[in-house]
Amino acid sequence: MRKILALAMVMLLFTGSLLAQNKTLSGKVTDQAGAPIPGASVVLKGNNGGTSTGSDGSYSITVPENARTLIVSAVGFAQQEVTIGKNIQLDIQLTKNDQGLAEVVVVAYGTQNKRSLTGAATTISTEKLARAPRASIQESFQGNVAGVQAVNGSGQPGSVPNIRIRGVGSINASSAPLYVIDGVPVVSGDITGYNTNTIAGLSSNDVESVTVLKDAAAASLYGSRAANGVVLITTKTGKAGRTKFSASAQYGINKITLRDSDLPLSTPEMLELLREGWVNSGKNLADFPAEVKARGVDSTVNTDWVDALTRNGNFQQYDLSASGGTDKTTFYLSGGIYKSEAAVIGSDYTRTTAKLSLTNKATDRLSFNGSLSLGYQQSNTSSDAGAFANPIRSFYRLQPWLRIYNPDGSFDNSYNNTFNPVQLAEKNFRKAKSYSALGSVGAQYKIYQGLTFETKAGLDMNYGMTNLFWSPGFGDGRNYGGYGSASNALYLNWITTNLLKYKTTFGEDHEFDALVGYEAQKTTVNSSSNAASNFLPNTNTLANAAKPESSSSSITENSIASVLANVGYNYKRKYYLTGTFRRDGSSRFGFNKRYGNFWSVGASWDITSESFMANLKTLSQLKLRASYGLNGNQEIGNFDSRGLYSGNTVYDGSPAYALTQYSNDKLTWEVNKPLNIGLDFGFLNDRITGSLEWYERKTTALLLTVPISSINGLTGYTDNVGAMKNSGIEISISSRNIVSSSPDGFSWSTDFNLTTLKNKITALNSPSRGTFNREVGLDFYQYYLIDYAGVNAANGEAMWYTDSARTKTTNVFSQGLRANQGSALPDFFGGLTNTVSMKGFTLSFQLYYNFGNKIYDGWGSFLNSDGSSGFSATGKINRYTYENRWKKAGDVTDVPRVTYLGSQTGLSSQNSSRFLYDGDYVRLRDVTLSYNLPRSVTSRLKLANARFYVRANNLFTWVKDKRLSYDPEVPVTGDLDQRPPVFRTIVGGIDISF
Amino acid sequence: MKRVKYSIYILAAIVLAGTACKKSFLEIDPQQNTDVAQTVTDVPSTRAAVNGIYALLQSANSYGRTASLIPDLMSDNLQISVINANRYQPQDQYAMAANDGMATNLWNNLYQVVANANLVIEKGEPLEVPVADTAEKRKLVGQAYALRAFGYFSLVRFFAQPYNFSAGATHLGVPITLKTATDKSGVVALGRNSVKENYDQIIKDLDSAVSKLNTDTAATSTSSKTRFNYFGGLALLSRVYLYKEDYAKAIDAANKVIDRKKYTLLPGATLVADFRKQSNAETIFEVAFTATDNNSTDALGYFYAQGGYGDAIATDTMYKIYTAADARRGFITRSRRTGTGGENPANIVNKYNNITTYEENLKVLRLAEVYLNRAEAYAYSNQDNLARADLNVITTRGDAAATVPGTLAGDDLKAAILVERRKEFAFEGHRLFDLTRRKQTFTKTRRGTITFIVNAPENKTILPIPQREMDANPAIKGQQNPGYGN
Repeated sequence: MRKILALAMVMLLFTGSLLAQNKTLSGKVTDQAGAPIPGASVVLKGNNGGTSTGSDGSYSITVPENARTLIVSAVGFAQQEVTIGKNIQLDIQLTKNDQGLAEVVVVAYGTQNKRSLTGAATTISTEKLARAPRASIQESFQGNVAGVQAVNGSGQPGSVPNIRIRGVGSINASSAPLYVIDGVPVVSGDITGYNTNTIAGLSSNDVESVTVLKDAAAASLYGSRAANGVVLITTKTGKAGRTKFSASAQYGINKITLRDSDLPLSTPEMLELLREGWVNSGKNLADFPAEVKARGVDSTVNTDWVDALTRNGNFQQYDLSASGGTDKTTFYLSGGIYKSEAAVIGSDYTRTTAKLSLTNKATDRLSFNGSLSLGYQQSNTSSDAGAFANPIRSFYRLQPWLRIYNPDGSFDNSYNNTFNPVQLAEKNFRKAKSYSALGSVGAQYKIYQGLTFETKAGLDMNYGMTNLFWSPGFGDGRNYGGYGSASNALYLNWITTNLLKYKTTFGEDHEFDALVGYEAQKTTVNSSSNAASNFLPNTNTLANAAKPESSSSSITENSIASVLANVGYNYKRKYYLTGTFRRDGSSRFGFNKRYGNFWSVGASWDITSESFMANLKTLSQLKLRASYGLNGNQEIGNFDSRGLYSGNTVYDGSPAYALTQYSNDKLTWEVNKPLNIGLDFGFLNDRITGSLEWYERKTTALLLTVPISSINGLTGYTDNVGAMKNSGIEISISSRNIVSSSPDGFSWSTDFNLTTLKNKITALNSPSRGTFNREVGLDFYQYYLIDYAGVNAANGEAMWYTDSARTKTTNVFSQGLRANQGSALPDFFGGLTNTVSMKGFTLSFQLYYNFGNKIYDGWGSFLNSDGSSGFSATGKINRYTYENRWKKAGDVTDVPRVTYLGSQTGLSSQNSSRFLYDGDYVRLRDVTLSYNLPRSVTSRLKLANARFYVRANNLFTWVKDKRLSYDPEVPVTGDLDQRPPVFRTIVGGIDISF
Repeated sequence: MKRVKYSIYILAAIVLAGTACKKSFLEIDPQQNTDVAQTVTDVPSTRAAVNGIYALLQSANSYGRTASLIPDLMSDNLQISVINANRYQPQDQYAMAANDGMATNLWNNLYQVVANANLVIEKGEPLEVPVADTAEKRKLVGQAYALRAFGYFSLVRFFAQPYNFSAGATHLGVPITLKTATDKSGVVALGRNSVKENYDQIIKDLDSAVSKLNTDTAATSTSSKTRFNYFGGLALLSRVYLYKEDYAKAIDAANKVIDRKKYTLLPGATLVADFRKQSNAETIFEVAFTATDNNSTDALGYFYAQGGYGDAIATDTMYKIYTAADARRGFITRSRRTGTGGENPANIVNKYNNITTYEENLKVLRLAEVYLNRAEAYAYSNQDNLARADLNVITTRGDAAATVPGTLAGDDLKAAILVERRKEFAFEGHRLFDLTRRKQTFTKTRRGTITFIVNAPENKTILPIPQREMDANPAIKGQQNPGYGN
């Protein structure tokens, strides 16, 4: 590794170049209406160097005397090749084309003209990513890419969104895609556990484009890591030309998304329920006040926990970048700050990023590039899920008669095991810091006509630190004289890639390209953690603690070594064929199954270039694609194939270990075989463009924990059993409904996408039944719960079905039958974006929709305790119960009667389909109103561009299921887990470039 | 041009550097865990494996909390307070379902104990070690036998009806496996053996343990009690025989413990304070918890102590069973349940209550039990005089004035012994089994001081075979305990 870096450095010293006789071309680049296009790139064909146009669209480029062709491109315009004639003045007009087939897309190990794609790859443009008030770039995928399910489930800034490309690809191994940033497959996820997503360490403003590789032809070149799709992130690089600066600033507020029906009950409402329950349990109404008193309830207190635990958070983002260069050397330099104070007390997030990218053309044949991205994330976060310290749990569960403060102003610790949530947020902390550095150096060398060698070394480093402190006297720290822990983890991931690329043309009509390469990658994780208690007053570092609690460190590694190859061929740019191959060896798999081969084949047919299509004027493009292949998923633990004793235990001061894992030396990757058929189309001179994809991916050799009888000493082992099938249809359509002839006129465009999703388990060695029923023929997230039969209208008791035909019921929970209840996976979802603009104003709004899934509240039996929790501090009942409970004989409802300390329902174990909800919703996810200063003003201010905007996220949500007390956006697993809902964010911002 | 050529060499060097790392590049060994092949290969690795079995018992799902707590909670000794964090509610209310989390965790944990003991026994028995290490190896394997017996005995008590439930104890016990694989090819699925077969295996293992640990008789009342020794094996054997109603053998095993006088009863005057001491003079086996190795907020003491969860409180009948002079009443404090609206007064248990350092070993076997085991065995084998004498040792230790009247005999004596066991072993995980094996109908008090009658026999005094096991083990199909579905 070190050797390579050193050599690369040496290479950077070679900057010799060959000079021929030159001439200088100049001119103006304009759009069809004649308006100048600033920032357009003008390069000489077959040459890396070039320039870009200034604010008036003019350029000037020095080219060799014998130069033939210029390539001119600009964002939103079709790339154009211009023949250089005798004239040195060359004006160029570009045609608008933001969706067409002419785009260049980033693909695995290179770039490709979109026209030549045989696979399914979707590019997300920088406009959809930049300036989003969201910490992680993945959050912006939602509703923007067909075939990608992107859900957050948590409003915490910096949390890791769930991304699923074409369904759930695995059961036990990861279903998350591989992330590749500028050619380096990176560590993704939250390395501190406190909401510091490693991908969030990259500012979305530094991203040039994101390509999502969905099928075999597109992704299989990533071999054993391609099964869940690949997200290729390309960061910005400089363009030759005058140095261009851009600056942007945003400020806004966050608020929690709660509907009226989500709001907790007040003291009078809770007491009304309990009073009714008191009578329902056969007690005398007259005795109720005495019970209220005996239980210590002060009915004059009515704490608004939502108000106490949430706030108007705020949000700020500032970015500055500079880019430019000469035809030899270009650079891009940027810095950014992102700051968000969450709408839940005690949580905030700050990120600072910096990026430098350099390219240098040493000679006509040799060029170098280097890039370094630095990121720093800092978060303060509160506990989640079932933790007593979770503020979300607290506002749903804490009784309204409990006080935050005692009359003397001190915190009230008389309830909830001394976990006063306001005090916890103020006095305890969970902090994380995450530092990331992603650097790479590379070189390209043109060996011979069409033959290029590329080499690259990359280093992806993430360092996470967490600090936790519990103050003494209450909450988690109540039995310690203060408790603190500190942990660190260093993720070191390095990679070297060497590629040989070849491109040639036979005769006029045959184009051929090929790639062979070698790649090696190793990821090492070093971590340590320490905890101590009994702190000096007003201190929280471990040096100030008297008593050590725990200490540990760990090192774990994995490696991959691969060879890869790719070929492409086309005839007359009408018929395209591609093939890929990769052989991966991985340290994670059993001794007997260490290497695997992965491949794909693809073909496409550009029907519009056939002569018989020439007369069809309405159809401007039509292309049919098909691909098939095999790739893998190796995302399991590093040592899952080994029989292991785990030594993380101690007994009476002596080291101890016990069996924790069965061995399986044949363990290998999951095999994924995606079949894709796609159709790209364009109508009316590409006013309407779109694509239609059908896919079916069959996954076999799924890595599963095979459940075994506990008498074996463990409850399962990992094996390649089972198979699954994901299939679906993806539609994306872009339409420029109204196109204005002048830049100030009215224009309107619409983007629509829809994804359907069907998952089916096709083989399993034995069914696994928990909250989900995993058996052959069902889908992966099929809920399997005791079948709630509603309420007996005669007596208000809850009923559960005892037979699968749902004819017989019981009022005894333990006799209820478990049954399939529907899936956590949506039937379909997608986005609809409309953009209208006029006179510099642009209004765009995006709707995200999601239909057909079920979501389940594992804490439902606590919120719907039907009085069984009595006056328990955390026994607050939800509003749905209050409004819909059974009251008298004949009431037809699905909420049982309230019974004080009743035993019929409400026990914590009584999880049933009663707490399963329809997950259908439609959300107004993004609304942006922006104004671009007219060119007459900007040019007077010497600016290239100035834009002001207001943007709002999650303004409105329609939810189908009225019973639901939470926000409907949940992780892919479908579980509501007392997480902070996504926030409603409103920001104002300004972008300036000059 | 020369330069270009030079560059090619450099590029070639880079390629070579990249490809230099060959096959060994993919061979990475775990550093956090130990490959199975390297365990139980010598005395240190066997010692660590035996320690591992004890460490399993430390789990809050086992003898760190659940196994001690629920026999008292599901009997007439304990109830859950109105202020609670929802733990053990189904046990408190006799409302367990087959997927009960506590039952599932207990079952899994105890079979882990069994499986790890199997591995030590299987690899340890034939293991050749240097002469200097043979004595320790023998002791370690002996402990593994005792731990396996303890694991099976715990399983059969919690998951099957008592021995005397059917004639010849032919009713369903728990599956027995004496071999544990470490590779997927060796996985087994077994149906339930009979309770008789379970007891036979337990006794066989304890006999093996006792014979291997017989060099371990140097134990004294002051040595560490955190591992099974010779006397631990015998004390457990006396309880097993008592449950089996093989009184002669119960007496025999108890004699071997009592007669050697290695342990002494704590004096009544300082009982409350001394009981809580680590490895006190009376304990024979206890599960170790140290300041750095404990269950913290999942500790048993945390579940009782009012500064902790404090969710489990003693019933009024429990409190009232003691005379005012009885030292053991000191294990209960009548005071207010912490938290707004808590019981007042509540019977706060403080037998285990260290929630500052959690250095509190959980008692499993102690001398007083051996006395009462023997007293009961004498009483049921018509040796009332001897029974009264043993009973008297315990009653007068608690309350000097509570001498057993010489007239106490027959059924009254048996009843008195049962009451004395309740007093003596309160909150130590005995009561439910003493009630069920003596076929006693009793009144259970649950949260909110609501009472209900538990008959003898009753389906729900034993835990369900976990639903997970029913689903994962085809051989156990149709063998669920009655009252928990199929």
